[in-house]
Amino acid sequence: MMTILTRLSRVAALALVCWIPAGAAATVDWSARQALWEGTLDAAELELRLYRNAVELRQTSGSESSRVWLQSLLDYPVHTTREQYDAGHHLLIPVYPVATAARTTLAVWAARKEVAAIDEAVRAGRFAPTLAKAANPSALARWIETATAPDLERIATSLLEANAPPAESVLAALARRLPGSTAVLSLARSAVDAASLAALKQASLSLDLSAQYQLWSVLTDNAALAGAGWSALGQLAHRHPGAAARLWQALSDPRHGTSAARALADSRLALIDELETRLRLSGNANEQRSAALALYLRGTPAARAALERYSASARTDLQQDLARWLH
Amino acid sequence: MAALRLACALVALGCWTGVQARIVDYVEDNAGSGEIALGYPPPIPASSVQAFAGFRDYDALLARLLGLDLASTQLSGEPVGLSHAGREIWAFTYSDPDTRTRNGTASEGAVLHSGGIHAREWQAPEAVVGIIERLAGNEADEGFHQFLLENLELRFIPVLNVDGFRQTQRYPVSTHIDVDIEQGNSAPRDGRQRRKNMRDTDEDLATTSDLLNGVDLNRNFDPFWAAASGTRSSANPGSIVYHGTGPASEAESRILLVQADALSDRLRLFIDTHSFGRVLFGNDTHNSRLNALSRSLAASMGRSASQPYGYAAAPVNQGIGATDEVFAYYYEVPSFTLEIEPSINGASEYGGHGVDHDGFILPEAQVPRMRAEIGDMALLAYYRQSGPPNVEAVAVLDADSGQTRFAAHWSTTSGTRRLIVDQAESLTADTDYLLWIAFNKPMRKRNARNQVVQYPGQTVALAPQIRLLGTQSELTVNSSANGWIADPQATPRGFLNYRDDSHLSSFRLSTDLAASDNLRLDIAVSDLSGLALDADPATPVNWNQGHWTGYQDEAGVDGDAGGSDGQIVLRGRAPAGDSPAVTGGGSGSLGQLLLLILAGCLRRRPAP
Repeated sequence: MMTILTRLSRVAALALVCWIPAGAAATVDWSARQALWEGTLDAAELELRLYRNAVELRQTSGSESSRVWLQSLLDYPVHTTREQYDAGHHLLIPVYPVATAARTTLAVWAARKEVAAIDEAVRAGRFAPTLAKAANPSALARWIETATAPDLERIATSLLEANAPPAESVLAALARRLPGSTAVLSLARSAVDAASLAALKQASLSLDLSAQYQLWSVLTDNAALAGAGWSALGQLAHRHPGAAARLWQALSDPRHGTSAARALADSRLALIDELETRLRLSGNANEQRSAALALYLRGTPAARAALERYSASARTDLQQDLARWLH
Repeated sequence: MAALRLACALVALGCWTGVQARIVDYVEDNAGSGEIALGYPPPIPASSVQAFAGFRDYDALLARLLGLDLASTQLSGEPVGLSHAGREIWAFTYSDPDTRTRNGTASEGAVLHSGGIHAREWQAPEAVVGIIERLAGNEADEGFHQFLLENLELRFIPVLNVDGFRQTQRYPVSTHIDVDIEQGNSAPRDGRQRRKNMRDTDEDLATTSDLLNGVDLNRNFDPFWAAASGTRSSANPGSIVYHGTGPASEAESRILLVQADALSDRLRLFIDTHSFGRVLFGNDTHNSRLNALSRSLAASMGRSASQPYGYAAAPVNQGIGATDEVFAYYYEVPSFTLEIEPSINGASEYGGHGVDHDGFILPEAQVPRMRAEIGDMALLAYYRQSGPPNVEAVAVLDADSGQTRFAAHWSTTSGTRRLIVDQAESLTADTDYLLWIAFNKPMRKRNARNQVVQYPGQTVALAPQIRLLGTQSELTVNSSANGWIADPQATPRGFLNYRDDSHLSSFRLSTDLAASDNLRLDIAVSDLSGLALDADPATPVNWNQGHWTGYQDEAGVDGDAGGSDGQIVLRGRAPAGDSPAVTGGGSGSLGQLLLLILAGCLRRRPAP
């Protein structure tokens, strides 16, 4: 029964939260704070109000009293929980995650404040590489996302010409906003995370074929994201001869042959004859393996037939592998 | 009551929103209508063959494995059946060509390790493929990894529920939220959060009538198929834990069982990789020895991660139709559902907002570390189930001349194992000797600076404890962690088969010990996972009916704990006319101390 009650109250809570008009001038819920201290409210009702208040305050600029109030909620131990078994996972889910809401609101305020400080420095002409270095990278990245074009151009130059390269998240933000800048290639050389890869993909949409080819070629030399670089070259190969040539060449590379094979297999190139020729004539074992893999991954009846034709005369080790794959 | 009052009031006001089926998108922040903010970027699978700080799409994972297969003579992959939708399900076997252990004493044990039975648990395929990649990168390392490949058959099914996994990757940020049939609350059920296979459902989230369909493959197995109900296993096809129409009703389930049967005689371990929970689930069966071994193994595995994994065993005769139950009850091997991180707190562990079910969505930045930690954990389990350590060979050398004074090794002929003494000179007092002992497996791990260190999370004594036991006294051999040998050409002897499978220490016999013609070598050491020696290598260790066989303690009693090896006997030779008054070094006698001081003084005397 209790579970049902708490579920009902959660729905109710969500409904109430939804009523809050955007941008409403929220303040500290003084009566809830009083109730918290005096223990005069039922836990569920109290937590509902605390949660609502913490979420509402997110819309404000964050007064000192609000900040102190939310900090006092960071360690609030939620009493109203919903027990849930989700496919073997026993979960105790807070119905009103008061502390999480408070933490999120404080984080939103802090981020806004940092972004505003950067914005103010830029407008006052005080933004220098030293300041960029000292700035929180995620705040700087957020500022870049929303900066005006002139501000951004000015700052980007100073950021990219500084001795120390900007943080990866800053480079990624620059690459998104300024796809024609050197930020894109800098990012391709140094990126390690998936968010940067997404930024590169977005930036590439604004580039011509030649620049795209250059971008993805650079990425293939970046050990952390080389695989994605080869894959992107595969998507480009039917429109850019250089990309196709690079992929064919990489088939014999022991480090990148598999990536090149996958990229060729996914490309729109007509490649079965060429792959079969390389299978038969190449003296390079890596190239033969990669060509066989590309044919297998191509997966069309014609590719499979080519592989079966070759299989009978293949080297023993390759023959065994292909026999297992094709059986 | 306040909650009830409040809810009733809202219902009365027409504010009852109910639980409505809908499709929502995961976003990082600033969620609008129809969006859920995770607090970190929702991962998008990339078509990168190579591992990176994120998740790879299924085709990239398969291409990666096939590429490794072609490049390796020890890895072999093959489609082992078709999924419900007719897609190939691949298994990869990693082992040397024979099925005997390197020393030829026994059949190799086998391990079956699966992943991706639950579609949305993306951690699992990345982790399993990561293990194969790690083995491939080290298959000729003359050490830990090569040992595993030469002494075990490792079989992997990286993605069992291939249809479901592809479905989740088709909608990497979108999920269908619907009513949980058992609990009545809303929960994500298709798209990114699909768990089940694709029975009776298409791949289109716009087709709303079939989004809850599918079978929970991890409820589809005997011996406890349909034995549980409610939130644990359900007969309702719309349930997240729908168990199907019968045990192994699903093609994917049957494929797993066929793979298990192929290994059944040699199977020693099963791991089914899931997420999330940071816990190992297992079973207490009627076999108490298996239960104890499973607990001990789970404890070792759990300690290997940066944040420990717990172990929870289902009580005897209770189950939900999960894979781990099949292997615990039918195959009698340690069998785990490995729930990869995060804990039940979900992605709030990584600074996420802590939204419902975000534990299934591991932030991309965590992927490389997760991959490495699960690799450490799994390889430790394989290593342990390869069998306990035993002494393979012993040699005693004169420290000054390097001449061998004693040498013995265990030899296997026609399945019988016996100790061959190749050389047996008597040892004398006041001579410095080196003692070289080789074991059947790498006993220690090294860090990047080539120092002997603990395997992650383990706490074994790094140096072996070696004593020479005479009839009246004993000597503790001077051994240290630095004595493990990583060089095949080391002086006076390199390692036997693998890096750190051999150890070098030194000793000097006291007069009375040297007078003994029966100097028993007592060797106590654990392998890097904490397994003690098989005290009698004459009876090779094997795995049968849920426990070790031929695994003796120092008293010669079969069991699962092992003990110190006392099989090697050296012989001393007292110098003519020597006084028997000086006792063994291990006893710390005054006479010995005086001799050592004198020897030290002599060594420090400046050269003339």
